Amino acid sequence: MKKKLLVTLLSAAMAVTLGACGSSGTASSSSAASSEAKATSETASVSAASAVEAAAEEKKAETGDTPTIAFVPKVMGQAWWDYVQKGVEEWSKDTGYDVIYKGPTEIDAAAQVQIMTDLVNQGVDILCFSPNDPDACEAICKQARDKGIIVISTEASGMENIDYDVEAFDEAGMGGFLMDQLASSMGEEGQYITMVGSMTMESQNNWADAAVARQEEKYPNMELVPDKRVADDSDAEKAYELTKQLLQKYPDLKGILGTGSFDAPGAARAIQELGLQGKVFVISVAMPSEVKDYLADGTLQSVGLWDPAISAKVMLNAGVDMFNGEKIEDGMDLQEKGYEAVKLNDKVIVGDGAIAITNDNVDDFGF
Amino acid sequence: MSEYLLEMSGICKAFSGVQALDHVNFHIRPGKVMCLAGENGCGKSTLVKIISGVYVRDQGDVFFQGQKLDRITPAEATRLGIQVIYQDLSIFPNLTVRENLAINSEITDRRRIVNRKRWTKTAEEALSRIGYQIDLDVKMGELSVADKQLVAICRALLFNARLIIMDEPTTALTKREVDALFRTVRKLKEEGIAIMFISHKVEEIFEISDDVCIMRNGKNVFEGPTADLTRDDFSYYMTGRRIQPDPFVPEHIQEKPVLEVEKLCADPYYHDISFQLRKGEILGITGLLGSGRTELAMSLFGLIRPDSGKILLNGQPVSIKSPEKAKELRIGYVPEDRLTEGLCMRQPIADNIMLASLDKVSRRGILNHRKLFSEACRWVKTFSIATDDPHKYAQTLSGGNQQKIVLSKWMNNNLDILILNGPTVGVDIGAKQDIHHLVHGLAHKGLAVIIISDDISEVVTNCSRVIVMKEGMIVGEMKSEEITDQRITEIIH
Amino acid sequence: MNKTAWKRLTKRTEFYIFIVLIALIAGIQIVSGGQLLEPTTLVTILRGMVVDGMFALICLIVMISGGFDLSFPAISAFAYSAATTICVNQGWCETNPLAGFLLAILFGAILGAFNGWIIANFKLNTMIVTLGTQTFFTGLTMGLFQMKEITSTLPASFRALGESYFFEVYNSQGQRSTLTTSIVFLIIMIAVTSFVLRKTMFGRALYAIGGNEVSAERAGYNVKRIKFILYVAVGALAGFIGMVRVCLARQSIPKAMVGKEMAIIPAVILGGASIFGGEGSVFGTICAIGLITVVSNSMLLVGIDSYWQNFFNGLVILIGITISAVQAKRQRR
Repeated sequence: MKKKLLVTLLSAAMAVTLGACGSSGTASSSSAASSEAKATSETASVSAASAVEAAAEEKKAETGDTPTIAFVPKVMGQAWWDYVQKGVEEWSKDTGYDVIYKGPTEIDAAAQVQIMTDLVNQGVDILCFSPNDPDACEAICKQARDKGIIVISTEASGMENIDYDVEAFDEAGMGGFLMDQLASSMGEEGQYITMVGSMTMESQNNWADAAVARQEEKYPNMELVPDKRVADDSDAEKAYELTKQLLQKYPDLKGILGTGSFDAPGAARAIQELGLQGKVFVISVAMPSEVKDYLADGTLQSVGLWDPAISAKVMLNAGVDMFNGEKIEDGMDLQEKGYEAVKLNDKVIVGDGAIAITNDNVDDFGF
Repeated sequence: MSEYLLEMSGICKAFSGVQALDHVNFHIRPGKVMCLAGENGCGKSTLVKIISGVYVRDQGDVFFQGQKLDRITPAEATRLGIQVIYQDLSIFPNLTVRENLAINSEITDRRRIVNRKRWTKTAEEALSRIGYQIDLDVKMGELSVADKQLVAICRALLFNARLIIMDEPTTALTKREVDALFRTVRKLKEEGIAIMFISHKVEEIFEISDDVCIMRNGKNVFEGPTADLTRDDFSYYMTGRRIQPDPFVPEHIQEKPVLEVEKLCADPYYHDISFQLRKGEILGITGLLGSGRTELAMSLFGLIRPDSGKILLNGQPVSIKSPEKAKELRIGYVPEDRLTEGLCMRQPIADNIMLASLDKVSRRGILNHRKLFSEACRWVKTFSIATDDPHKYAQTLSGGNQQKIVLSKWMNNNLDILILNGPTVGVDIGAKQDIHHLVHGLAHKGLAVIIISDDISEVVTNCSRVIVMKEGMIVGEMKSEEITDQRITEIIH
Repeated sequence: MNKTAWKRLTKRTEFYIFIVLIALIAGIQIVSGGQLLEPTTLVTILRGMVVDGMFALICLIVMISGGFDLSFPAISAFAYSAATTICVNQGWCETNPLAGFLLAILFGAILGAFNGWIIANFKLNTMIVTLGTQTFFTGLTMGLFQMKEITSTLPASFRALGESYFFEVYNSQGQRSTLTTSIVFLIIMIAVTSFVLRKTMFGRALYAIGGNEVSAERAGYNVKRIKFILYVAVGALAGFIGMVRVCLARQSIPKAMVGKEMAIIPAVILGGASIFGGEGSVFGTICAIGLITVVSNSMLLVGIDSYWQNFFNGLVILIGITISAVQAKRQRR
């Protein structure tokens, strides 16, 4: 369940940058799985600056044991993963550990497994990865673990042959986060409605349920209108039309809580046209570049997302901790913002990593 | 100047080795009706296509108004005034009469923009040629076949036609419509237009034509004035054998009626119909199109529910709700339009024969293909259906043979009553008699047969009793010795 | 009105669709408490009709000729994806969208020519051909553009065109809405399509071919050439319409057109076009698109639960098509 949720969110988010199918998780993973092209792989600048390398050598000499770390993204050269790569390099600089950052040039499950196999055969100590098709990775992950390699995944909470999976948030976390953001824009009072990409998208609907639950618990002055939930077919144009209809039908509507990445851009356009900026508020998960203009002119106050670079750093931290013989425990601090006290559900490390994209940080991500 | 408008001699045409036309000679006089007759596949349509420029002849000379023509293209044919009215009439059912009349000349004139006034003028001019009146705004598809045909003739006249070729124009027409068509043809004759009339209906040919050309197997076996030809000769030339008239003589008609119809009504088709049918007899039901004859037959087969009245089978009242029920009651029906209703044209002949009796060649719903095929072969033989392989599609057969399949389909089913609607519509003389013989044989074997037909001579020679319908009512009933062409015609009109 | 004219009118499917449309508007107006005929709702409905209406018209002309085009959304997606990608990469169309539109039309025409060439030359069933080319074109779009979406980087002139409007309207609550300038495209296309279909020999050729292709050929039409031109024109228009949608939605998403044909073709049939060809009118088609847009835009106002919306969309189409079928049957009698 969790896995599906994250795959869905990510693919929805990546719709913007990666050009993947944005509407459903299954579409994205199946297209990745079916693709048989043998994508060539690229190796990114493996190490940090040579000065840092020297420092690392020093450190190695001190401890006598430095792990070889690999990070395998879904794909190379696309904005989302470029941003992750920057984060990994930053981490490398800060900790002094080298990281091999290597992934397929296009979203391709087979090519990704090939890269992971190569890395396992090279004898890395820690393997972090974000699978295009979790099922396709099970075999190689089992091999890796048999060899004593620490295997850490993200957005693959259902996988078996891993040590841990890192997730930025759970359903309640994202739903609650979106509701908190909306409530603060709305002054914690007034009518609102929820919007999803489609009534059949499980994760988006679960977030919306969680958001409504949060409102019932924390914001008694807010009220869900009778229509409760509308679907925009993951189409900004439809979201725009729906918003206009909603405001026609509910003149006192003050908030729209969307969970799909097309909800906020479409709804914001309608609000702009209707001249209701500052009177009607919208939040949804969205890619920063999509909503940049609306954040700038104040139609939107914020949208929800998580920081994939931080997630990556947490994976690396967890890996190094394990390498050093520490045990991963519920409530432990993984030294990144939002992961100060992680939840541990069996093998899944859950953070509180939802972040608000506002006009102030919208340019920080590059996607 | 030659006395002929079109003169063709020694025409040969072969298709991949098969000689379709073998030294055919052919003459058409201006202002005369020339009838081209012959059974299906004799080369009639190939000859027409050579005249209209669709095919190029292999050999032979063509003279048009004394001028030798080396090569005829379709455009050249149009320029010379040769117009073909195909059997499908080449009309556009979705367009109005106005457009159907004007579109050809508009295209020829390379017009780009539609000018309603000009179209109307063209259309009216076309209609005035034969003094025909019709609403120009009616869609062509809503007209009767006869009206469609007249529109097609009018359209042909627009091109200063000197020769109009009509391909089996009377196939789908009733007697009255045929008369109207012939009046038009005579009018055209008076204007000096030559008509080439393709048909295989003896009566029509003798009624309308001045000259006849009969073809058989790619050769013309007779050419000359119609007056020089007797009807017997005609059938002989057509079929290559002497056909003797062979009226139906009932052998043993049962005393007890198998079917009794009492005061049957189905609004608005027919009212108060009562008659009886006995095994061993052939009952003819005739009347004009729309007299209710077809609807009555459909009621007996469960296709139209009567409003009131009774149907008794062997003295027991029955209600025939569906064709399945009718079959159960051992009633068979061969529809009028064998092509659309009775046959799956793109299915093998064998499958078509066995279609109505699949339960005989299957066990627990599983078909036994070998049994199906051998059973079908038996029927092919019994009915002398002209095919070398029952695996071939039904559409490869001629009309007569198709009709035989439809018949065999029902024969196969151990029937008590067989209803034949227009059994020989569109069938050659030879095949026609084969079918009639078949039906006679069935009656002799003890079947009760109803023939529904507007072909009066067919009813006269093949029925032991005739019912005449008019406007949904029975207006006359005749016993065998009283049945004559004349009496029926009198009652009908 | 005299009796025959009235009789003729009642024989037309368009007449019934029009009546259903009016009745539906009246019904929704009452049920929604007068919210449908608010000026803001009306301009939104008009806006919603722009793209679908134009797509319906190209479907109509293909169906009149007795064909079926399932590939127009795929052509459209390819054309606008290619055009916007080129414009973004070259930095074109910052002030004038013309180049983008011309590119889309060009790409559309090329793919349309491919359809036309196959259909005209090999005399194949159009539905089968376009079913194949649909997948082929979609694959081409995927391969070349990897389904890459262009949103924030969309050239400024495209956004400007999408945002431009003729006038503002306000509803009783003082909310503002605008009538998009793109409605002009729809109006021009309605006018041009009507003219071509009714007043040119090319348009009449489409009806003639749809009515009886063999007869059309015998009458002297160059059927092959006409079909080729038809599919090129349809491709070019699909490209153009795709660009209009990009401007209106302010995003170029290759997959946005997936399944569009399944929404448009039933609407065209609803509007009185015959699936056997030869029948159909611009008026009926636009009424049908209006009907469907009104329904999808007013479900919320009427209070139909989101879960049930597809059901009602389908129901409207089903009812409409049944009416057309009954109508056609009556006509054959």
